[in-house]
Amino acid sequence: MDELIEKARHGDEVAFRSVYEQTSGRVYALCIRMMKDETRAVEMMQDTFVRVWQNLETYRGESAFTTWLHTIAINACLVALRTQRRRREDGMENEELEAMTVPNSTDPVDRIALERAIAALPDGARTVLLLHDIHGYRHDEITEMTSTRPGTSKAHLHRARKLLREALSR
Amino acid sequence: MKLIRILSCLALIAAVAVQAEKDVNERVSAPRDGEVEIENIVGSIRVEGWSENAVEVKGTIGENLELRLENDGRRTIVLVKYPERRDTRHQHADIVVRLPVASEVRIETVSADIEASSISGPVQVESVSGGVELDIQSKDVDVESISGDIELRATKAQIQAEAVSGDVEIHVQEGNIDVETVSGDIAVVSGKLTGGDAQSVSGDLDFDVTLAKGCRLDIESHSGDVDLTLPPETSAEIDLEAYSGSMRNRVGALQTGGDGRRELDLIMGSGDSRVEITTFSGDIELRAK
Amino acid sequence: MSCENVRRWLEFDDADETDALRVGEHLERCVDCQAFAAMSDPATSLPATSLPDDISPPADLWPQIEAKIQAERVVGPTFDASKHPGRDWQQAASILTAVAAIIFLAVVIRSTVAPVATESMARFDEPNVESELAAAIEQECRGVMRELSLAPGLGVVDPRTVALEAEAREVELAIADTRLAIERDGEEPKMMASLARLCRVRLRLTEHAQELARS
Repeated sequence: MDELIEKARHGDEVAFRSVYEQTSGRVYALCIRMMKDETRAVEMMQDTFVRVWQNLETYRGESAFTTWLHTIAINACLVALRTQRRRREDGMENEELEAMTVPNSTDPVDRIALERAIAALPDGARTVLLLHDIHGYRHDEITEMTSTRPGTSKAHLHRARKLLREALSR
Repeated sequence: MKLIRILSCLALIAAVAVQAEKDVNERVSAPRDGEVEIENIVGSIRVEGWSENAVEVKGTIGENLELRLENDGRRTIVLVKYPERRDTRHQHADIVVRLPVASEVRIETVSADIEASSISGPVQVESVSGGVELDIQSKDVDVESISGDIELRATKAQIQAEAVSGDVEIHVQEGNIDVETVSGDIAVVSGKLTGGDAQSVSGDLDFDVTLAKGCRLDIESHSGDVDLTLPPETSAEIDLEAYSGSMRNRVGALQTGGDGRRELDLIMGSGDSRVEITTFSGDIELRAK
Repeated sequence: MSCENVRRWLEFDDADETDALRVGEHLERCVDCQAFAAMSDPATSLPATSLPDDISPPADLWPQIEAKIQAERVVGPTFDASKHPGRDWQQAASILTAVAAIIFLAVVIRSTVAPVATESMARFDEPNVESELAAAIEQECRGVMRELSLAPGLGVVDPRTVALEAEAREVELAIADTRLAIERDGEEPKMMASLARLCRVRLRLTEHAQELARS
């Protein structure tokens, strides 16, 4: 991967496509759960990878490439969600939640319920739950990625897990 | 013997691991009305005015950080120094700075939250994402933030506040206000507004004010809504313009001009003050207190 | 924040998420509340960990990304900062100084110059100096923004810069709305002044992003 990144840095689009192919699955998993909508998730994917392409020179290798990539994706999603919230006073309507496309929805019903319960979490709680429980990031990494504090990350996770458990037990 | 050495090493490692922060408690003389500059990147900064001619700094800072407290006569510097590459991971400083009440205070941070109280000298604050809460008696206040929220309480002051996405809330008994945001909301409560200029792009603006005689208040927003609450005895000419937003007059002002569709000219009392509100798609509402 | 409020926030569904920062700060310092959080942490069942962290995106996504990357390449001449180390900041600074000078000149001229008759001004009863100057400012702002956006190294990607870019997008939407209104209804002075203001706001956001990148 390091070699591919280095080539992509020098403008090699074929190498960048390989980078995309190796990383897009995890980024898409993040985007679709953050945005709760396939169309918006696709927009975020475009934003993220275009930005990565434009700024590859600035990637200094201080963190793993995927961490850097996920940081860009998560922040693009958070900002888009905020803009969306400002344009619509209400949060996602119940009907929209019901209509929400769930990735791989041929899976068992409990998986659908779980994805929907995650989608219903407030943005901050959902972000930390995705990064910690699904993508395996530690709190100190999440703190860096979202420009917040370790305590805040833990508070969000605690609340996310509690709300999720309550939603699934209804 | 070997076991004791091993146990001692383990105890030392444990002690070092636990002690990630260190206490600071330093003090330096400072003039009654000198300048005090405070800089801390991450954590918190609490500033309190006191009656002593000294600057005192207490708190806890990260193990690899250093507190620099120096005075060169008129100017005192309080600086939390971070390692070379400004690596702020796991490192932050929470400091309480006490300084002479009449000091001219300048505070700079990236993400530290700032609180200040009991200061009567000019105050200038620059923050990126740290929140700013001021409860002061200064006559001159200048706060800039990008995403940190600003909450300001003052008695009689000239206030300048600027934020990008942070919200701005100002409570001032008497003052002149210049406030601007991009998407942050703006809320102003004032007992006697001598002048005001408020602008936002998509933030909402909420003014609950009493206008001083001769006050000129300009409010402009692109898509944010504007709510202006005035006492019924207000004396002002009020011009409203909204390209596609709605305009509502619930303050009982008399219409003197405008087609009511995009422009509405109103008057209250004998029109001693002047208010202009302009939006593109934001709604405008005038309310009575 | 008090211990009582922190515990309430952790336990009740109706908590305000915007208080998370203050709750987090309290938790970092308060050993009792840390213990409370640990005891009540529903970590025993972690349903979310059973979900896949890898989901295949739509097959047609890469061509869309590729098209955008190629569109970015065609924007215009790029300034190769590697050939002129340090020059990109100097160039940006000199451009910004030029804009500042124009704006300053605009303010001075507006207060002293006599109205100038032009075809568009003939439509209005009052002198239209403000409108012409607003148009000039807008044009200059756009030119500067284009040049700044082409210079590489100006946007180190950190989350705060990403946030500023989103703000910039909102402002650009506002600029687009205003321009549309002007095209429809003519160059009304107040509308032109609003347009100029929005361009200045847009420029300031770029300056903020540069400062963050430098820090």
